[in-house]
Amino acid sequence: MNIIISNSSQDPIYQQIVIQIKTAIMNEELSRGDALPSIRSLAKELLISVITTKRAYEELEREGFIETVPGKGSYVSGQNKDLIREKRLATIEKKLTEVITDSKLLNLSLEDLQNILRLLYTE
Amino acid sequence: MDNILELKNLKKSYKDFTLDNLTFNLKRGSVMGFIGPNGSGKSTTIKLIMNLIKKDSGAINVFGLESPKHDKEIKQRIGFVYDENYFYEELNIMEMKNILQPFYKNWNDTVFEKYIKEFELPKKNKIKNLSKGMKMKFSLAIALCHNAELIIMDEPTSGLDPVFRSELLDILYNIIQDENVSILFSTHITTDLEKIADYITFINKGKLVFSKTKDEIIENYALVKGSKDLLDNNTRGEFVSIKETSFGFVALTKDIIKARKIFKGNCIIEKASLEDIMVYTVRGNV
Amino acid sequence: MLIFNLIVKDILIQKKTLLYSLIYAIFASAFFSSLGPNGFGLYMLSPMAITYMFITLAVSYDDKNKSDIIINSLPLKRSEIVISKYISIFPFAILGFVYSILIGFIGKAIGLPMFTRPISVFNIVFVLTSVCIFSSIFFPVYFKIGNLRMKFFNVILLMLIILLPSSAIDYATKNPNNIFFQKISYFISNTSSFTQYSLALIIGLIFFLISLMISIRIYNNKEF
Repeated sequence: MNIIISNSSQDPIYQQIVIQIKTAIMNEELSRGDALPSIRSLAKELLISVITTKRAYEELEREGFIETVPGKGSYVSGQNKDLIREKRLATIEKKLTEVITDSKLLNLSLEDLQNILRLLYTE
Repeated sequence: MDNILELKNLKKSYKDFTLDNLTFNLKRGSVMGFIGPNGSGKSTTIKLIMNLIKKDSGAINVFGLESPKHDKEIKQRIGFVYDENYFYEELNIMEMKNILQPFYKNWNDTVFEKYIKEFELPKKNKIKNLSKGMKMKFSLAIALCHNAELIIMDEPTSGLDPVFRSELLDILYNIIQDENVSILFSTHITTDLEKIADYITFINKGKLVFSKTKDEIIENYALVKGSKDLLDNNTRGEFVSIKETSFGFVALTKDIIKARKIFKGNCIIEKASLEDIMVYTVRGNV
Repeated sequence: MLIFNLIVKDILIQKKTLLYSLIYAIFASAFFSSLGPNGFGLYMLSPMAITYMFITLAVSYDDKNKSDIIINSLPLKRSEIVISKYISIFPFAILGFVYSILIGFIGKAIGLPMFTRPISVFNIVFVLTSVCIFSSIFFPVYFKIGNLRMKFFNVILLMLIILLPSSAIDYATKNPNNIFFQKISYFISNTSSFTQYSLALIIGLIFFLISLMISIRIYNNKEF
């Protein structure tokens, strides 16, 4: 697994780590039960702070991608890939529903909404 | 997580300088960068923690023990690295070590030898013939081989080249693999801290500016660059300080999200480095 | 014990002095044999000067390297640091005596003219008392004002310690009618050496202990 941090990216470093580990799990580079490096050794390898790696792992755990066993370390969680994908899709649908509701209140048409989406997507 | 170091309303007055109500904590297992311009009070604070000078008022707790009441016990567990070498210049490394060793209960010679080898320090050379970098590494070796739980470093890298400073960073990363070790690193070379520090405490003119996680600082501070006609009484108030040139302005904001909303698209908004934050804050007299 | 280690440190940092003082002792015994009664140079002047050398050189090394900062960063009480300095004068004095005895022994064995007698109790008591009194004045001043400003003071102090007893005796012999001196001579002729020596040592120690307490107080309040 490769984790490459960009200092000039808009995304905070912990976010970059979260995304890259998630991708690795989704691509099956990491499989269920694989051990992740400890937060301290990851910090050392990436030359960042321990708090940053901890935050990344906490978010990954919150989203169900990894499990942390106290005293032992973090492992790719048992949830299978499709289930995770479904969960994420459900979250996206929920958020989009909220956006649609707000847009209707502003009298935005579907086309207006699509334009905005197009603009933001390509940003 | 408990606090390995607690400073509360610490006060120390000199004729033309006062350390005023300094309060911050260092959590166990973390690295704290202690930054501020020269003369801001960093060395004074460290000397107070090491009981080299006496506080006027306030509280210092190390490992949960009151200082200076439990000074001797506290110092057993502290490893210190100062900016200047105060060792006996006529002695060599082993002789100096032999002088210091008996004072520490938990001295571990194997660890010392390991560091001497790793740092490639010559055992038989007189200390006065060692380079500044080697002296610093020796200081560090001494600080690390008696199971110290708190490493205090007072400007350890001043006068040392970037290559060496990067080596030191590697060494520190190795040290903190042990989650029981905490580091307080005072410096005005902020690039050293940008990577490893978990927390940053910034003092200026004896007063605390902030003590927060480094991530929080890096994620919220920003440099805003744009043309001067964007500055009016409202927008000026948004900034910590502003530098105006003939060609535009550069300003520091504490709130990048707000700045993006206000200036949307009209300005360049960039991440501020710790050095930027320090320089602009000191200039703005916040 | 930690104090022991501090004393060892004071010796370790001046290994060269071990040699210089030996050389000094050899010369002192020869040069000063004419200054006073037999053995004055060897058994009194020399141990006193050697102790003085060790004390002031230890202190000047500490000062040159600003090692006060390291020493006070170690797990030590300030009082322990002060006590170690005070106790250190005894091993230094003993070293001075050892050199003197060695030189005297060798000198006598070779058959040199000035080495006719071994060290006497009077020598030892006199040296120890003077050294105690010297330190009692030296250390509080050193702890208060530091080594740099002391250099001139050191020399004056040393001269006083050496010259005061002899000029006092001088004055006494020229003024036999002085009541004070009469009382003292009466005392000296009517008490045993043992009493006199014990008294001298006790007086020395009293100065010593009072000075120790003053130094501890000074050092406890010192800022680095």
